[in-house]
Amino acid sequence: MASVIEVAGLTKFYGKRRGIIEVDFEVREGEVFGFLGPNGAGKTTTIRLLLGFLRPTAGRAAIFGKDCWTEAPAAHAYCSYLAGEPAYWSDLPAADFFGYHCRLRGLAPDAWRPLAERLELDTRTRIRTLSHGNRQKVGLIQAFMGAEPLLILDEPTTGVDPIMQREFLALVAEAKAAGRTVFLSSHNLPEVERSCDRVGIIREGRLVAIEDVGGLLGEHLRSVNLTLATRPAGNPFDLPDIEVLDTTGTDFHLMVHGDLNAFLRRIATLDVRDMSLTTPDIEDVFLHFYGADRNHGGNGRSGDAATAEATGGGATEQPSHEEVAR
Amino acid sequence: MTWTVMRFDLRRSRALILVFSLGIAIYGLIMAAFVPTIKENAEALDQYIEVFPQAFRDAFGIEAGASWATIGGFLGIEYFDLVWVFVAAILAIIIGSRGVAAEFGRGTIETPLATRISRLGYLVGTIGSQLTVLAVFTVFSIAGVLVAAPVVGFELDPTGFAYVGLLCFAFAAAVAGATTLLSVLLLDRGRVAAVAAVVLVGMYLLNVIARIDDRVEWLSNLSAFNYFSTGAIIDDPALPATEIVLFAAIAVIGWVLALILFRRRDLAV
Repeated sequence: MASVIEVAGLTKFYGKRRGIIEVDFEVREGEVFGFLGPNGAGKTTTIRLLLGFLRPTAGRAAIFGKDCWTEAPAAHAYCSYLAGEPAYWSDLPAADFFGYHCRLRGLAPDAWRPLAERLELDTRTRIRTLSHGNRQKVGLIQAFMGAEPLLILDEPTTGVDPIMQREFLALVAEAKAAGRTVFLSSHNLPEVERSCDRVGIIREGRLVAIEDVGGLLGEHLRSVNLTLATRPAGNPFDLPDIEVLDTTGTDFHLMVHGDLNAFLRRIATLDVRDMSLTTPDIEDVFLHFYGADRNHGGNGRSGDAATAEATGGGATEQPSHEEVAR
Repeated sequence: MTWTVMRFDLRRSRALILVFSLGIAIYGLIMAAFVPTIKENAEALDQYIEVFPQAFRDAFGIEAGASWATIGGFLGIEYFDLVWVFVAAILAIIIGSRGVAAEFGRGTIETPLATRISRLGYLVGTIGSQLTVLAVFTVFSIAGVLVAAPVVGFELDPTGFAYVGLLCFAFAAAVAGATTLLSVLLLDRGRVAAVAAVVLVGMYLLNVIARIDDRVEWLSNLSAFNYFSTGAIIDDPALPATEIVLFAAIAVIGWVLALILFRRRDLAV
């Protein structure tokens, strides 16, 4: 499959402040690529580099072979973009906003109409008088109304209600079915799990993993929730293939890699009150990537504050597992 | 594409154009309506003005006799050189800071720049819109006086007013050009407006000080207001070519530098 987005060694510093560092990835034609990371990880910086809003400090990004900085307008001809918190000229009726978009993107003047009718948006109303939900519809219509082969969506469902979220997922599925490529930045893990083929995980400006969603959720990882009868003295799961993702008193959330036998032998020595063992959802996987540093002293796929944000806990640093255990 | 941006920008400027243009036209009309009365009472007004200290008269460019007794003298002092110039500067700062700084602050600059239009094309579109707004404003500025003149019973030389119109347009364009450059540099409409206002007020004060104190008369050369004097042109039509070229050069330099910088500017704070 041809590459739609090619990113090589892409680095951006804002003065001394880190944006992203040596990010490499490619997005293939027709796939939905999730770009996961907590706030401040570098997702929006990457998208701004892809859109030519920022000049790379080093490295290169290209869309359909067009350099995102030196050939930005040519690259943009292939793109439709939806910002995380899209800004509108609020004194305009939605129809006028769409009309301007159509002219800028070279679309038919009423290209927006079918989607507006489908989403039941009153396009004669000024955008400032629209409800929050209807404003979200404006963003979705603007992003999905064209036929550009690449959709770049920056946290498109932040604050979106469940109905619109479902609509969004349907639109992504339709875009994929139509052969369009989607680059989806998000920290909404279930959304990524449901819509993406592959996922890139970014942490503190560095891309720490690129995996198939199926692989991430695959057979080699097991998510274990365990409740012991009594609080253990130390860490009873200090084994090579076990990660303690979270622990509170007698409750443990573990990630077990590969062979389960060592783990089963260990819990046989413990007084277990309850246990569930499942294939991990992407949230577990995310915790796995962001928690690795704390357990293994840094292997390039780790984090701390990120864990809290990814799970809705905000951007504050969390104590280490060891600290929690104490 | 540039045309699309320009048309969109102009469409969004309708209220601004309406308010500023009608406002200045009405003010010009009112000032023009005073002309016959001022002419009739020129002698008494001159006596009144002579009561003021010389420094005060110098500071505001008020000369007894010649200035107040003529149409150009009155309209120059009371309309173009005093009120119009500041209203035009405010309008120029608003439109000069809008295309980049204001749109960036609002986040709406991403809409056009994420499409096929180049940064160059986008900024040229907004500059085209600035020029159109200023042209309409200038026409209305002159029109108010021209409409009032025959009604209240005095004659005007349209050539002089055409020259004044060119000078006015060039002055407003210079402010807009410089503001556009600031807009690209600072990406913050509040700061752009503050810097532009401070520079203009500073130039005005510089001009006042230069008029009051002969020892620092040379300071007036640094002030844009020194090159914006309309009274004599209205009374004795002569194209102020040097001043127009000076203002036009500032405008063009501002826009060209803005275009060069905008092409390479990170759109992030």
